[in-house]
Amino acid sequence: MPEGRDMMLVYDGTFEGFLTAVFDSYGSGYAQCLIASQEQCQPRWGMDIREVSTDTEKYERVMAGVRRRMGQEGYEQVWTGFLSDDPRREDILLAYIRLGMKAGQRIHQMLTDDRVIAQTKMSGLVRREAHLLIQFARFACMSGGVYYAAITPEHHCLALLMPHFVDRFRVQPFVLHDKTHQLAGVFDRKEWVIASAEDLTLPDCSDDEQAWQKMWKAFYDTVAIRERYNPRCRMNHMPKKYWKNMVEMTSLPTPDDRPLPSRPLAGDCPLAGDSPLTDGVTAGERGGTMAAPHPLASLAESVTPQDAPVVR
Amino acid sequence: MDKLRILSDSAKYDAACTSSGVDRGGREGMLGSAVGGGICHSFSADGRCISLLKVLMTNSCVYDCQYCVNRCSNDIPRAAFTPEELADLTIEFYRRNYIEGLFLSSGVLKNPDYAMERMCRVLELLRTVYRFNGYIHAKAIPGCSPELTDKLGRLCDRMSVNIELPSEQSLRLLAPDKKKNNILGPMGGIRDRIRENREELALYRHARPFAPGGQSTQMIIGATPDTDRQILRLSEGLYQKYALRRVFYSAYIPVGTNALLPQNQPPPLLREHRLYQADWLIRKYGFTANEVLDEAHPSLDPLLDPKCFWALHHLDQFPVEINRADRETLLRVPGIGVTSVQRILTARRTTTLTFEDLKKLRIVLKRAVYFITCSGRLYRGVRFDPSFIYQNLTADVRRRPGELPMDAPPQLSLFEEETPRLSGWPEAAALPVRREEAAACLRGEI
Repeated sequence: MPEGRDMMLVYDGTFEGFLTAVFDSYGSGYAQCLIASQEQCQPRWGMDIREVSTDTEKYERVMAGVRRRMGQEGYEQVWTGFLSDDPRREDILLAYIRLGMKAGQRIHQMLTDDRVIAQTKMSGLVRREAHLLIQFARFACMSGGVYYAAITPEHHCLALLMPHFVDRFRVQPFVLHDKTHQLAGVFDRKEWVIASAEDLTLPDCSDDEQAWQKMWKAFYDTVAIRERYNPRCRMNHMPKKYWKNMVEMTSLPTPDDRPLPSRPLAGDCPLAGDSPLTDGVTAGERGGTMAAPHPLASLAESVTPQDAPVVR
Repeated sequence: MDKLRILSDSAKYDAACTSSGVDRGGREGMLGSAVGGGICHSFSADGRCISLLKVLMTNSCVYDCQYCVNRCSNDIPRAAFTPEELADLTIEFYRRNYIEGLFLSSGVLKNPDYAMERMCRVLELLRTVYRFNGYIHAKAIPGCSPELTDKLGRLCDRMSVNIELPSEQSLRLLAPDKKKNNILGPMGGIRDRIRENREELALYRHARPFAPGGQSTQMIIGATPDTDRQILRLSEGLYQKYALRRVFYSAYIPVGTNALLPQNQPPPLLREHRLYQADWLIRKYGFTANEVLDEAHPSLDPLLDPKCFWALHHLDQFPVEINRADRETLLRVPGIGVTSVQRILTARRTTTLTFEDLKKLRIVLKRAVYFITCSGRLYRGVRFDPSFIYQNLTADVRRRPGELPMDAPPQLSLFEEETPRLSGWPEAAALPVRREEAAACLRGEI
């Protein structure tokens, strides 16, 4: 028997594989079990290593067990936590599941337990990012009528985002492109899938896309009240890392330094020419800065995410 | 494009931009959904949330309200959307996930009914032709006919009638065309319709909801000499009598030139902030307006948030034992909010909470620490003594006055001279005087 030794279970990186590994960790007799995906497997010296082969029966038993003991809430905790990019993800999840299988529903009250804290923090970060992307994802209409948005999330949020956007845009086909993990969520008005986006090529923007983006920028710049200027507050609510994918924040190199459009006092007209948007920047400059950070520019060719349903 | 600039420029002084209150999933063949908590889609340079496309139908107005940019005597460019243009704009923005829906208001073109009809037209287009299922907030125009209010309510999610100024005298002075009854009339009408509608919805399957997101209102702060106490009592009345979901406060930004109005001074942002804090106490924490501010204190304290202020005046009710106090009592502890209370209640079912545990629950102890005990013990180093608590609570502000959420210079003078440290707060004579000064400062009188 492996008394006092540690073991590392290596799985294939899927959720099913992970749950199989959880199953195998029970009754193994080792002092401590660690779980790692193939990509991130870094065993310590003196550890036994075992490959886990994903097994439908095993993962379904774990899934049912989690549901039965910890309820739907517990299952969602585990599932959301698994979407995280935290390097200690597997260990946190395993500790949480083991505790939950013992404590049952009571785990949702054990808010001061370190294992529960680690888990809720991890899944909370995923949920938070998903919510921020629901707020800040920006779609653009491509020629052909498909809407496209690029996002660069830290975690695998796509699975949480798709249901929201599918429900909202029932009559509108769209592609949600996760550039960090090279995945694309594709919706064709009937069904949605998440597919690899390795060879995703995009068509040009539709003709009036630029016009709508300009309209939106004009609205964005006008709606701020000069006397209340508060960039700190804006940054708290809308972290800078999301700006690069947002139409209204990428129009000028440093949106922070951009002067607010001056409020017209009596007699002073807010005509288009007075605005810093049209006046302060030359057309060339604007085109240039538009092109660089805009998600579509670098990928512009013809539609068809190849291993996904073609949407037109 | 210019039209959009002009009409959003004219609409931006409206405070409300929430898309909350309605949870409605997507529907087959329709575009859009609404989420109960609301979604902000962007934040403008002033840090305010942009959730809805906030525009006016037109900024031409026959009224001459002195506090308003769109008053007919103001020399600004005028424009108007056609219903088709506006519906188109809304849909295109919505499809790109720029916005959560439309916030539609209008200047009074010709007469209230005419302006309302045009607004109804936009909403009709959106709901029927474009099959738009997203959020719409519409502003009813005071003095329009009840039929039009009814029609508008059927098409939108939230309705609002602006009360504009906190008292009738102020209204008479600055908005000669609007009357208290003109505003409260439609408000009562909307309330009654919402109530009737609730019955209809229960009885008939195909009844259409009437303003399911309820109604809200807004008033301008700092343009008139009304006190915080008056304002809060008014809000409380509105919540109780008119079943409003929200009252919004909007710090007055000098857009008028009338001699009756304050000129050239920064908007009273701190005052607005404190009013919102007090407003939440009334709506979510079980406080009454009278508790927040009694007759002796007509203004909110610039140094302390309203809950701390209340707690310092009611030290006999503290300290509170975290492990035993009920929900209502916990809600009254400064620094502990609704979420924190929920966490405490859940966590203490399985364990006895210590201060360490509270930190683990991510409860902010900064203010709470002076008012609570864990298993009968105060936090290490804390003395339950009024002046000790007061000094600690205000220490940050006194050290770095610039960090008050207002950046107006006048109030700095308050902290320059070393005032003799108070003893026996809150009865100390020195303090109320200083608070009066600060309040005057906030109102912009100094």
